Amino acid sequence: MEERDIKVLLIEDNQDDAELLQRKLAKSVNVHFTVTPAKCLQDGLKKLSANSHDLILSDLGLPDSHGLDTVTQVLQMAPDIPLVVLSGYDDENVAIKAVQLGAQDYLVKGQMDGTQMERSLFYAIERFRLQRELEQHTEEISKIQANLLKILDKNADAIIVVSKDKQILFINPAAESLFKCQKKALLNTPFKYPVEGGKTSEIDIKHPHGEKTIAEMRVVGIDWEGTPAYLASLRDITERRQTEKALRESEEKFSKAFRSSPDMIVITAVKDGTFVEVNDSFTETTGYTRKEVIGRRADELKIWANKDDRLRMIKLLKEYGKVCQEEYEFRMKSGKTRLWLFSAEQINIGNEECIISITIDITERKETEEALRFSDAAFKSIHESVIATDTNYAITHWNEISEQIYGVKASQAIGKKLQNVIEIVEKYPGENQERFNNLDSNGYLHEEQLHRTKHGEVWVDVSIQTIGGNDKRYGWVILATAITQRKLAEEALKRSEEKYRELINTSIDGIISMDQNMRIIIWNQGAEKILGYKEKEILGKPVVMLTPEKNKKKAEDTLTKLFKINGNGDSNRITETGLLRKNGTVVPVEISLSKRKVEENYLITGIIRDITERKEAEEKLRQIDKMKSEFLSNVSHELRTPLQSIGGFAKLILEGKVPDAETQEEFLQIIDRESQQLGILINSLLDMSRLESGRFQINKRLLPLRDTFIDSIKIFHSLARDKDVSLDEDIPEILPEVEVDAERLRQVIVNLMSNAIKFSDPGGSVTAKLETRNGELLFQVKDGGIGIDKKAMSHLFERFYRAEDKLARGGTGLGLFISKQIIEAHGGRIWAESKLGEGSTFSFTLPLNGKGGNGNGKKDINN
Amino acid sequence: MVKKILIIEDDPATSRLVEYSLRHEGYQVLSASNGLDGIRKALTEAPDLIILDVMLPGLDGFEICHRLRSEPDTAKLPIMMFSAKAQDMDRNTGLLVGADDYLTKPAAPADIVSHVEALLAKKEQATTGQEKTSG
Repeated sequence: MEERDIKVLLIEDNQDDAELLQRKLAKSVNVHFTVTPAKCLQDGLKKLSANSHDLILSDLGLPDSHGLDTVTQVLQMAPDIPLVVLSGYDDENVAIKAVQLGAQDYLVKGQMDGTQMERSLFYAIERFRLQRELEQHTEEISKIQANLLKILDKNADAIIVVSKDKQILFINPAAESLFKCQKKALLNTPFKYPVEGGKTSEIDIKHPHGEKTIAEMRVVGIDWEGTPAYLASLRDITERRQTEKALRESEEKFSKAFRSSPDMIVITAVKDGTFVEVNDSFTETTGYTRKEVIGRRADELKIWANKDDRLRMIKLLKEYGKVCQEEYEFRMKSGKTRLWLFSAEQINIGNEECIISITIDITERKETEEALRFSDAAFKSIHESVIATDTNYAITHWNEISEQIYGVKASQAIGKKLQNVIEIVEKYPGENQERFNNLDSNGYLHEEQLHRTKHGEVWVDVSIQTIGGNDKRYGWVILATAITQRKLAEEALKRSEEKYRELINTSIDGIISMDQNMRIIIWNQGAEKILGYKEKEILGKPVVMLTPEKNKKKAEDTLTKLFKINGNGDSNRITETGLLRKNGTVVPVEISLSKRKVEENYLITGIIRDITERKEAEEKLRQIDKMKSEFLSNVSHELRTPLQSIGGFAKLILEGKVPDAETQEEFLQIIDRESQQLGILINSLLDMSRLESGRFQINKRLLPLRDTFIDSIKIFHSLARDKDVSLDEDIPEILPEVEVDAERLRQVIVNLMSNAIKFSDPGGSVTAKLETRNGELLFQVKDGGIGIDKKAMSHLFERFYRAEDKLARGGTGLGLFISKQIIEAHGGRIWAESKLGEGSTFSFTLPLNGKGGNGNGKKDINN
Repeated sequence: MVKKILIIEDDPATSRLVEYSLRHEGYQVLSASNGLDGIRKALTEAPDLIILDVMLPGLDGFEICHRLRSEPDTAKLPIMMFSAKAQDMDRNTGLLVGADDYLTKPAAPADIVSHVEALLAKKEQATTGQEKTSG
């Protein structure tokens, strides 16, 4: 016990007690007590505040406070000063209660000696101090604890305390959410993960629904409530891991892109051009290895061909923040310089300002561009649209023709993407994608396309090719020719082809074409009509199957010769020949042949006209011609023959060589007869002339007929006698009067009589009979001559027809024809009946009433 | 010797004229009015000359002439064609088939006679010539 001065406040109302106490305290050896008395509580409290005291000694019973109240009030007023209560009587309950309330101790007055009191006070102070300290410590501890708990509670990290045997002793809210489990579910359950003091590890926490959390766990060994345990703090690093993964992947990607970019990528420091990183493309192009370059300066390596270029580039960079597609020359390891297209931006790596540049070697492209620029003039004269694009289909060239075709000026096209200027119309969706795929893989595309711009549509023949080669593509060149015209022409041609096809088909003439093998390749309806074969059964067959056997060789020769001629040609002839119909008959045709080149081959086309009708008409004409010339010949003969007799006999008589009167009579009669004959002939000729020109006329008059008949027949008696042919006539005495043209009627009678006698042989007979029958006059001349064959019967009354072929007994063939005209002009009929070898009967009728006929014989004399 | 003339002619008037004219000059005249009859008479009557019309019924004069020339008996017989057919073609055909002369109608009787005489004389000479040479 040290020498201490303890200041005591004594609150005692009892003076005696107070004094006593003070004397006792003054006796104390070890401790010096300084006592401040107070008579009542209020006084005491007053004195409390005045000074600092180390202890309060207070009587319980005070004038202004009793018992425990005193305790309470004092404690209240001086919580930091220990209180010892005095009690006058031995009432432990109150004293105990006082201590319970907060007093340090109690003393019973009269029961203690000084030393006891001293000790008690001293210890009360000590106790109080210790208590105070304890309280403070405890406060501090609980504060610390509270803080710790706060830390634990609020800690983002999960904190778990795990006992040595792996039981979870403590978990904080963060741990709850990490493990997605409630505290009470986890407490005192085994910790599933290995813990080792001082170790950091990663654990995969699998959650009930399959989610996984990755956590980083730091474990330390601690003492927990007296026992060694582990404190594990866990952090959810799932996101971090994912981010790390993503970053790693992107780093890989970037690295790959960087490494393998076909463009050269270089990172250099701004300040001095030190190479920080280069990619493979750079090393390949320049020839330097990475080692040779990284860490070295650009000017060391003399990479910039022109020293000032770099500075110029940096200036651009600083001014605009980036460099965009500048062209600079660079020197390769070999010393050769190449032209690069240079783009760059600034980046910071670490603390260093760096430039990342992307460059493309455009040396070749430049050369190509130069070449292209050279041929720009050529471009202009090309009549095709020429468009060039880079590899991304951005237009770099657009010539004048393109302007015309697409209606887009070069200034509006260059720089834009091709697809944005020209729409290539698809026939079906996806066609353009296919086109571009083809283009990419083949490097070449040629087809007809329909292009649409805002100015309209145009059909073009398009050819797209890569610029460049040897695996390096610099772009595309597109050549297009507007074929709208051609397309329209094709359409027109197709339509006109159809027209021609129509024409060929509907032509009446046969159109047959054959190829070089002489096989039929075209066969129109006209040919079908003429020859009978249908198109499908004749196509491909040899054309010579149409020629009759005897003409086959000649036909082949003609065709072969025509094919051999160079170039197109015609056979220059229209040939008449016969062709074999399907039914085997031969049809006369007119053929004209021509040879033409159609597409790649030669064809011979024959145009065939059926000339059957023409041939028949020609034949008829020929016959008529023949008849006419025979007629003329005969006329000549018929004229000369009577002239012979007339002249001859007249001469004989005049020359006196006919002394005999009877002979003279005979000769004169012959002369007379022959003259008449001559006259008749001449009249016939005149009649024919009139009939042909429509001037033939009959004049009917009412006449006694008998005389006409008798007179006409009379003249033939002598001829009949001469020919030794008997002549009989049967004419009735009484005949009605009929309106007739007597002259013409006579002509007919004479004609019939003359024929009858002419065609009778010596010893034959001729009969002329006239009768009235059925209101008609019927005249018949019958002879027993050679007769007329059936074939001749139908032609008897035709013009120029002579019953016997080949120079019969004279006659012009006109007689019967004219007779027919005359009789029919009277309204009558004329006909013949005959039997070969037996004789003929020629008959005619005349209507008695004089009606009928047309009076002028003007009929169709070609009947 | 009286020469015998055969006339083959179908027109009676012409036949009569020629016959009278020749008879008047002292010739003997036979006539036939058609070709077949004419050939028969030519073979059987042995005329010295034949006057042959062209336009005859059946066989025409040219045909008759040709046949006569084919028969050995009449092969050398003088034949005079007498016809109204007056074209050159007819004349040529006549000579082709072997006629010795061709007279066109109408002819004056005097002309007919003189042609006959000329033809007979020619024949005389030829025969004489032959006889002379073969003699």
